[in-house]
Amino acid sequence: MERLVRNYMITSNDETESKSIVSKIATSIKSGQSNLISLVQVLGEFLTSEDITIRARGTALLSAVLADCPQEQVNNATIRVLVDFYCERLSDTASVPELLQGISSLTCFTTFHHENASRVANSIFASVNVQSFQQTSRHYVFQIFDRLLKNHLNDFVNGFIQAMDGEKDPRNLLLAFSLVKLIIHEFDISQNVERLFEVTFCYFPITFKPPPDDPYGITADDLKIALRECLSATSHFSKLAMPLLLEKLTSSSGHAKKDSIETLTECVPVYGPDSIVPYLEDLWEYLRDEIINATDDSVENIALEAIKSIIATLSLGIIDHLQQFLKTIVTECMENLKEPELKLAKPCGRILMYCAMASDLSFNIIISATARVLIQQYKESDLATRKKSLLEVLRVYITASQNLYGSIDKSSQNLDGDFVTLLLPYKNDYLEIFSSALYNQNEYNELRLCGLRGLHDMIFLRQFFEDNEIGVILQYFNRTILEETDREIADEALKSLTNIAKYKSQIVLEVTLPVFLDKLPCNEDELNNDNISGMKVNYLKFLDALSEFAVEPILFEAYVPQVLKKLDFASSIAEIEYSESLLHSLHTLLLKKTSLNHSDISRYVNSLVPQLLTKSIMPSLHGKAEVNNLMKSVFYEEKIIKVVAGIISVITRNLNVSEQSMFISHIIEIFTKGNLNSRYLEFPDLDKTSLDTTFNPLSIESDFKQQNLTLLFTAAVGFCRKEVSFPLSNISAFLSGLIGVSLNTNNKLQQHSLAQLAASILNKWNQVLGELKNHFTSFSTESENIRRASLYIFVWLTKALILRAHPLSYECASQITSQFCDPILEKHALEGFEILTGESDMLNKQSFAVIRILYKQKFFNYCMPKLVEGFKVASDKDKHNYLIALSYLLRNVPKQVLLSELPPLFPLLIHSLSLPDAELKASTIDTFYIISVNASHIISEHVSSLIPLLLSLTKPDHGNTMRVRIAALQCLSILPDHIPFDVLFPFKFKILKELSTALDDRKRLVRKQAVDCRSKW
Amino acid sequence: MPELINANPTIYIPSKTSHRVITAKDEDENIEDIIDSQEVFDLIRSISDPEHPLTLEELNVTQLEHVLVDDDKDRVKIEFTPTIPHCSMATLIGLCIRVRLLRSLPERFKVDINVRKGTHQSEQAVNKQLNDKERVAAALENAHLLEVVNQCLTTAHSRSIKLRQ
Repeated sequence: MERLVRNYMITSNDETESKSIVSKIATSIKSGQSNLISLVQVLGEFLTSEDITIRARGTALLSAVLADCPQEQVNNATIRVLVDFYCERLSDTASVPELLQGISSLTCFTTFHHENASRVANSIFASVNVQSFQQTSRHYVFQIFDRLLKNHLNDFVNGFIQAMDGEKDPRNLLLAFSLVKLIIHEFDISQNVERLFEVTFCYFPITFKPPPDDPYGITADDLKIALRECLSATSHFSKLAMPLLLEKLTSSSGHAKKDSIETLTECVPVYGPDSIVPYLEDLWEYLRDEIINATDDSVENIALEAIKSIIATLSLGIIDHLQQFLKTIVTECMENLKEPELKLAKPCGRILMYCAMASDLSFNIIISATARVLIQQYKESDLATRKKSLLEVLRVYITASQNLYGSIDKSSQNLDGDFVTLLLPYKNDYLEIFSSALYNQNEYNELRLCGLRGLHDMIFLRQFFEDNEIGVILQYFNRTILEETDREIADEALKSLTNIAKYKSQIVLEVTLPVFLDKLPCNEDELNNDNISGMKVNYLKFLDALSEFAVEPILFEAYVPQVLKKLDFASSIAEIEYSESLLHSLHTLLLKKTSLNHSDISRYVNSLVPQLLTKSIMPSLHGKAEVNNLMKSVFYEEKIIKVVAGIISVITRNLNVSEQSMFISHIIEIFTKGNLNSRYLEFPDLDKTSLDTTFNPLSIESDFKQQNLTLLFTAAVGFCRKEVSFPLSNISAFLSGLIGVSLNTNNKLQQHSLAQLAASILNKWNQVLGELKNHFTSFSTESENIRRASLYIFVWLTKALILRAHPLSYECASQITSQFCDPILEKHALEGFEILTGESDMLNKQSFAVIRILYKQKFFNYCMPKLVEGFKVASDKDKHNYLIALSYLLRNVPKQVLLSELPPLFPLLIHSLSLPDAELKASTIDTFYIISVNASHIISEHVSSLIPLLLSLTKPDHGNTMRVRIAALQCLSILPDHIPFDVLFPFKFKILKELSTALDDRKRLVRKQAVDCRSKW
Repeated sequence: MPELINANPTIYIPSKTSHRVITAKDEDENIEDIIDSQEVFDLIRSISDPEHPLTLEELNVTQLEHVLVDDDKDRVKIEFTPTIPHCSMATLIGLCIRVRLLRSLPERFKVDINVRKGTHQSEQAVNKQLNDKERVAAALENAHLLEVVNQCLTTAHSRSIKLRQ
């Protein structure tokens, strides 16, 4: 041995010589004359030599011998020693190629175990920079990796399967399932398919029910989905899974059935066409039954999805199978459709739809097999119900086409340009039958609606209609909306039109808008005719329609000037209702645009707003001297001004800070300084000279008509953002001015509007509050009118402070509650309190008010004890005021606060049920309703006092208005849902008996509630 | 599932016009609303069929025209039409209507429930059962039967406001 080794070391360059030596050593090891250990011992001195070439040469010999060494010569211990040796040496860069060769040989031994594998892998990763070696060495590395992965992960998989088998805990299973999925994706499982399948499929179907107090938040659905992902992770499972899934499909348990169908849907695409072909017939029969006899929609839908998935998968395989399968389906469906009024028509239609939706190929097959026949059948049948069913089936192809070939409302779909719907050859037929259905003179609405919906859906098909064809259809819609007497159809047509306007605004602009505008009267004759012909006011119908669909920017842009033109006419003959409707339509549209976040609204601050301002201001400038009955204008009317204010506020709210600043400086200029020469307004120059009054709407002396315009000022200023710097230098002075006017004016409208404006300014801009208190103290002395006015203003200012959670606001609020005992002001103080607690149009998020978080809670915490206290000390006459105020407070406070504060209030609330005030009772019952839903345990403690009271409130006694009776019944009927049966049971018979009175209530709405309530119990 | 008596019944689309629209009159405290046939029909139209997840209205078992109410004389007369003449569920359906009205109408009313003439082969037997107080009471003692009836009545409150598509 030693000799051989030495010879080897010397014959460094002779390949054949080296080989023969290696084979000699190997033979001697094989024959048992020698062993590896002694070889290593002999090699020892070379392997530890200082000379790198000698070290490498020694290693090479050992590696070469290992490659030829028989399995049985290498036992566990040997291999461990060898692996350790090789791995340690890997840091010796010079001999790495030889070392790798040796490792590669080592990995072939059966005794090479898992722990060795990880040792090798780790050492290679740590010590070998693979790419710095030549090809042969790199090749060894990859060989080693290959063997490691192939042989040793199997062990892992085996181990994993063993470890998982029998696991029951849902938390662990969830993790295990995700591991299975990972293993399937990452590892070669071909050896273990069956076992892996068994260990996972045994959980199917999942029957897990989370425990009632469910601490982990794992639902059955989580598990189902995780398991489903495992089963559908590899096509290896197909042979094993398909028969079992099929068997589970026939399961009698609804959940198992659903789960199987859904799992099938997921698995089929992965398993591939070949694996499902053998089961097609069974699948179809089973799924068909499921769809036709479906007891609820969800099962039907998932079964349809399954069919779609099957067909989509088949489309990827041999076409014969697909054709065969579809042929079965089509034949059966068409057979059923021969009697389309039966209930089978609908499911069959849906089956065909899902089949068609699955792929281009299936769409083609289905369409060419059925469309012509159905169209023919449709044309031949006379029965309206039958026609309708057939039309519904034809319509499903449109839906299918939308799904498969895309529709115009989903631009993100990156579908191929030449992926064109195969419905195209039938376009003319479709257009013909659907439009004729819409215009069918026969009275059957369903058929006509179906025609309408079909046309609508077709417009949405991608690459289907040319624009001019859409134009034709829109004309049908126009006619329907304008002429149809049946509300349902007309409404549906309008809805379709609105939908279409979103995506085809240009065509709607050309085809529809002019037709509708034309219908709006623009001279007196037309208006008169309009009123005479047919129904009362036709223009309302057209305006309503326009307010629906003219939302899109280009439509709105075209619409505004037209409305203003008609408004001029209407205003000129003082036609108030028409003007109001026109303005109202603009307001509605602007609100809609706001909710849709349209960016074009701000544009109108420079066109629509000045025009409206001019129109409103102009007529108010003619003084009293002018013959009043000659000068008529709609802008004298409060309700017109209110709508204009609405429009201005919507536009203002949509401006950004800089736009608002600009706008506000115009407005201030006009309203506070009366400067009408501003370029912002559009007065014709001529008029200015002929005016005999100045414009001063914020003054007490002005004409009522001018004062009304305060509303417009409030609308503009009140909706400014707080970041806008207020263009007046002395805000406090301005504010006091406003308050002064509001206090002394005789014009209610102006008074209220100014009070709100002052509140808005105080809330956003002013920090100085000194004068506020002075105003209030004054109202105890002066005349009733002034007291009332100052209370009103005070309430609003207080509200402004409450929103800011300002400390002063509480003091103010208690000033208000202290008026509950004042004989004159009590009613107003109560109303004021309602304003304080409720939401308002003026001070809210939309108008950019400063609103502190938790302001409601803070206010509640302050007021509640005060009110309870007040109730205790008040005289009997005034007690109910406190209770009413309390109910206002409770109504508006967030639920969480309410529930925590409730227990001490409960006796008080129960007491208020026995008072005669109906409003109070109703609102208290509503409070109880909320409590029952959210904190039933509190109610549970008091049922014995509450139920008899509620029952007495259902009786038609004096003071129990309809609203009270209904509220009481509603409250009673939710008790069984929230309160444990054992608490309620003692009352059951009493309640059932006493409710019979309510069953015979004289009001039908009460009876209805009583019936529902009684059946609950 | 056992074989259904009528596995594939015809479905009728409920007429949409037959809903009562709430008017100002209904909200006015001072006007008395009498109980009329629409109101009684609303009570029973959405009872479920014992066999199908469909309402009696959808199956045309009950129709507005076949509900007669005389508020002054305290009489209600209802006729219903079984889906097929040999329907063994007819008695059960009648019983459901009976129970619903027992629970929902004021006690003063006398209610007659009959199978519509000529629509069922054992018409008289069914009618006799349905209008005999003792027999109805006896039937409701049967816990299983009561459960079936309650099951059918769970949908009754919807008053044809659609639950399913």
